Amino acid sequence: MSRRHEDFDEFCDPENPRPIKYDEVKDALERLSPFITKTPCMPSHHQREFTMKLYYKIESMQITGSFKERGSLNVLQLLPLDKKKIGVVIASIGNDAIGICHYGAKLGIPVIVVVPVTIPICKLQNCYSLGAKVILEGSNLTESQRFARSLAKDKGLTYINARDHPHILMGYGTLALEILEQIPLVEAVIVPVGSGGLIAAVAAVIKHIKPNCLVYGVQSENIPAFFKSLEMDKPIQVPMQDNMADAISVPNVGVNAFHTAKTLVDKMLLVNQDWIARSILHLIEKERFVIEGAGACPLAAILGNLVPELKTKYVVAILSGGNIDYTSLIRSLQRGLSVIGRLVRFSVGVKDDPKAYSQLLSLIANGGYNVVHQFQDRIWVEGSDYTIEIKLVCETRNLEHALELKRIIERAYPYSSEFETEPFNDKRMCPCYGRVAT
Amino acid sequence: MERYKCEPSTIEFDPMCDKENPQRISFEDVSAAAFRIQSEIIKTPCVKSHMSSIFGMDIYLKNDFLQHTGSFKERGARNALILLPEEAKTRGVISASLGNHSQALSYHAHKLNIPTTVVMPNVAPIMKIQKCQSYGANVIVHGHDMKEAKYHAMSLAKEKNLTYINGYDHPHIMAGQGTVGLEILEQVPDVDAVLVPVGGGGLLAGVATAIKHLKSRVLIYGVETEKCPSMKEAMSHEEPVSVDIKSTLADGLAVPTVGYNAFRTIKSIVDKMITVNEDWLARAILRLVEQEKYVVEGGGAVGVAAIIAGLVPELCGKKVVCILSGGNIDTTILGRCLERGLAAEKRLVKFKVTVSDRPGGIAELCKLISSIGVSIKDIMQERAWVQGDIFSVRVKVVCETRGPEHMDELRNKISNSYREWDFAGEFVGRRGSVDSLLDDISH
Repeated sequence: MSRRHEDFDEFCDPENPRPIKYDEVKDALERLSPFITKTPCMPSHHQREFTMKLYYKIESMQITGSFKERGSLNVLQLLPLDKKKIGVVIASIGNDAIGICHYGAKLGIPVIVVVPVTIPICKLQNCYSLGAKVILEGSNLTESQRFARSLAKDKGLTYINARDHPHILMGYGTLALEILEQIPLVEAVIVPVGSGGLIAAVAAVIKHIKPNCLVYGVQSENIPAFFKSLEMDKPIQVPMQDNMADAISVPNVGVNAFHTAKTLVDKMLLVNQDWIARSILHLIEKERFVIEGAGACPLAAILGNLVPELKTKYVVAILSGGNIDYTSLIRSLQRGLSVIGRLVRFSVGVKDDPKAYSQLLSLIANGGYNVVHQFQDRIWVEGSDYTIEIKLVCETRNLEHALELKRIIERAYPYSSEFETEPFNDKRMCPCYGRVAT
Repeated sequence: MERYKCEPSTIEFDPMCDKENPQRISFEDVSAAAFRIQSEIIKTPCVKSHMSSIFGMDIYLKNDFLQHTGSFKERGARNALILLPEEAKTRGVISASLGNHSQALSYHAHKLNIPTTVVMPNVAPIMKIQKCQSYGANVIVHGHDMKEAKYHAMSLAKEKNLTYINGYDHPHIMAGQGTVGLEILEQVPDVDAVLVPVGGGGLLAGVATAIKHLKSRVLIYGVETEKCPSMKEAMSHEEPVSVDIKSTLADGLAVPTVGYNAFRTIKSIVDKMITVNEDWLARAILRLVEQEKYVVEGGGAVGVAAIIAGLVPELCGKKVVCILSGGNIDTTILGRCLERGLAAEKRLVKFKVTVSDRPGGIAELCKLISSIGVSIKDIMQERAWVQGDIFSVRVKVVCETRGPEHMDELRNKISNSYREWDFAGEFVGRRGSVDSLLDDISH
């Protein structure tokens, strides 16, 4: 069949999936340890508030900013010499590209990277600066992979499936070996899941050494490819959607990863965008690390109260990477702030004269609120011709302070104020209501 | 430690920080402090930075922002609290501080069951008041600036018989801060130089005492921000003098007069004082966020700022440790720093161009800009003050580029396609304003 020719990759064959073996991971660890940073597994400062002994495996401290380089280095080192000289092609949405470019440059292997056009600028910039040839092609990862495969065939290069190649998964397994060494009492590991490579590797290693340790996977509820695949018991594809966790936004699962993980993963969780924003904010404010959306998913599951059974246990959350670009970072911070009630938006109608306007602003200032943004609308105002509508975004101390602001404004402007957004509207969900993935 | 008596302080006069009687701390104070505080203070990692190759030196970052309250101040606070006599512990402590010292004190006093009161001026950021309250301290908001807050704190101390603990000049505090130096020597034994942020001088005093005693050939540089050069002025006048503080990104270092004890300690042992410009601070914060993935506050990033500003060329090829002293930066300010940093690195560009006001005029401009891969952040239009043709509109565009070369590419494209255009940096440069020239370093 022509489709088989185009998509066929001997290492990622759906007819012939290759499971990950523990011994191969141990070899990988020896091979990688001179180069890869053994990242710390730090206790959270909020262990008391979460009532669990939470530790963060901080993979953002790797040189390329994510755990992907473990896999990249392993697969490049295991290439036969002749293939190393000719070069490789991969398709990637970011972090694995950076990993392969970095080690390709170090090992002297020419690298071509095909990325979809939706790649964040900072990851693209990283690839350029590492000296690889970058081609922008395709609107999602699957299309880029197809293009990369045909490119490899045309030019006689080696195509590496950067998300599912067995050597790459072996490299990822070294992370689990480090966790077991650093936190021997670990009882549960929470892993972000994209195509499933990381969780397959982690589960393979951990269940081999410590079968009682739980392995949970977390996905974004917008693109639950792995989740649905586990439900249907076979790899399926889901439609793409925009996502804060861009590094795990893949519509397909890896065949090798799925084959390994399906019997080993204990539970899959789905988190929504608000929780991801909150966990990025939490990690910046309380732990002082910059973690990207995908890496913050394990903490999002904890914040969304999806894992109450893990309370009082030793839990390791893998913060898989920190390559977030400044626009997404700002957006996540603001989203997180608004979700917990520290940024509120409302509109007030006042008379169109300087005194009324300054009165409103002094009222707000006296309450200790900071006006971050304001917009005056003179045209689309209903009611009298001398009223203007002022839309304001204010910073507050916390949720009670925000509710107090609502009381103050409504008392002073009883008929013309409007608080539509969260936390004031009736669409607000109680924060302890956890949506459990069934 | 017995020779320091803790007497209750009268207003304005703190016997532990006496101008007429400055005290030097000794190495034994620092090493004793290390043992005293080790049970609860995190021995933070000192990791090699990813930026080392860019600057031609081995840069190590002492991550003291990983302490529980987010700054190194915990070391001194815990030391001082443990050393209080028993009756003082039951009566309680008080301090006036805008930031990290109050949090550190509240956290450890709560752990040691010592009642704490903290006085802050009303300009204190929301997050900091929240944090101290959550650690169990009694927070009083009083006064318009630190001076009034401090006066109020000292009068309360006298009234209620509490012990006032100065955040940077108390000898016990300085001894505690010095434990950072001991850890650095242990983690990076062949260090050549240490860059220490300087506010009141407590950290510099402690670290210099510790390191110079054990390894006197290690260079100790103090780094300050040019908006508050209190230590530099003190060094040139041979005694602490008061400096006007202007609002600064490094709010943790905004202390008008350095401590008397601190100055007496460091006068003869510090090798060099460096001052950095605020623009470099924003860039340093951006670098630390983007490349190391750490969130560091302005005061903590001054060491890195000095390196990227090129103020320490003599350290090329050497092993340099930068102390990242704290990470308590307000989230909104973080956003602003990132933007300022990006603007300074020419990755956020602002320019004006006059386009046709007919349908399609602005669409064409956008198409032109995005065709070279530049991402548009904001567009504003202005019609009233345009000279010339009535069918034109002046458009102000803020966009994100990959760097200076990309910005040049953008400028060439715009200049070739439109008659009237204006790139922000150049415009101000024409007026001869020195502040805007980003490569201008004021020492």
